[in-house]
Amino acid sequence: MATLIWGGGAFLVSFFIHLAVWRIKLPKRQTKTLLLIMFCALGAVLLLLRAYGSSLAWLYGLPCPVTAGDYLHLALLDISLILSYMITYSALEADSPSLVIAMTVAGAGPGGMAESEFNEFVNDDKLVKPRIRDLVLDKMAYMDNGKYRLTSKGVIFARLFIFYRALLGRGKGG
Amino acid sequence: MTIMGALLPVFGLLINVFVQVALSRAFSSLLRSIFAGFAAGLVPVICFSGFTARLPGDILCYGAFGYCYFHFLNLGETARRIRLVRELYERLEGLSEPEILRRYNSREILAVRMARLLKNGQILSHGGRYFTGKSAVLLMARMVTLAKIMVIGKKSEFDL
Repeated sequence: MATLIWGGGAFLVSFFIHLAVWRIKLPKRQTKTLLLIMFCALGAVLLLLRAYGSSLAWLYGLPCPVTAGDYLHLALLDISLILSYMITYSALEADSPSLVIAMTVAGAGPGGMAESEFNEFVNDDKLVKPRIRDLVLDKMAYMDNGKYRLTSKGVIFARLFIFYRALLGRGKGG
Repeated sequence: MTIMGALLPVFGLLINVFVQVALSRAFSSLLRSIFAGFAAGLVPVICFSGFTARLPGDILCYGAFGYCYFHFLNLGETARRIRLVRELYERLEGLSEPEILRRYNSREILAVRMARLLKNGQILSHGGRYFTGKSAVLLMARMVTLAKIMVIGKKSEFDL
């Protein structure tokens, strides 16, 4: 139960801090800022429990972690929730093409949307160019003499996905 | 709790990954292999938790890791950033923006997704016009839009 209370609690606290920070100003590098907030909150909760865990348990009857395994269990739960939120957040950060299609067609009303009109509305400026800019912003690519080239981080990413897609026996994707 | 006991959701995830990869290679159905892999990892998590007070935490942790793994697979399948990284990896000397767009562009992105939406009946095509079909993807799109407004404060990345 200590795992659920403190692991889940650490995640909830960091989530509300993130919402508050985002209300003040949307960070330029959102993913990095989010990771920073959430892992700092986890570190703070672990330190709090290490320093005052027994007092909290005695004063308020709260279940607190005792062994190293309890602390690891708590940290793993929070990390799994942080990673899940990070992945979900990437869907909020960028517009998904399938969802853009659904919303665009629905937005046209009961008369529907002409195929030609649709193709003009959804184009490279909306679907591809922002993602190229994201690669530069996330330091996975850089511009060199008018050409985009991968950084070492980008190469690692590419190799990871190429390896895994080959392992699954699947094509390029995208 | 012991260190090994705490790592139970991670062991569950490893079983999930192993079974998913094996099934994907054997039967080539990605979605079914994902479901089967998740179930295969969940069984030992439940059994070794022993229906004690730690079970909800273990299931939540394993479920969250499983969700991450599902999205990792989904990224390789559909993410535009990953596809762009792969295109740039194939030409390490670099690609200009027009060269990238010749290799990967909105026409290809839309064709793949529109074919999927038409096949699933989410979008209908009639007389050269598109109409909304079933509501599942539209409902998901509305939920994502609501979450965007709540978290980021705008409906779309293109809103100012």
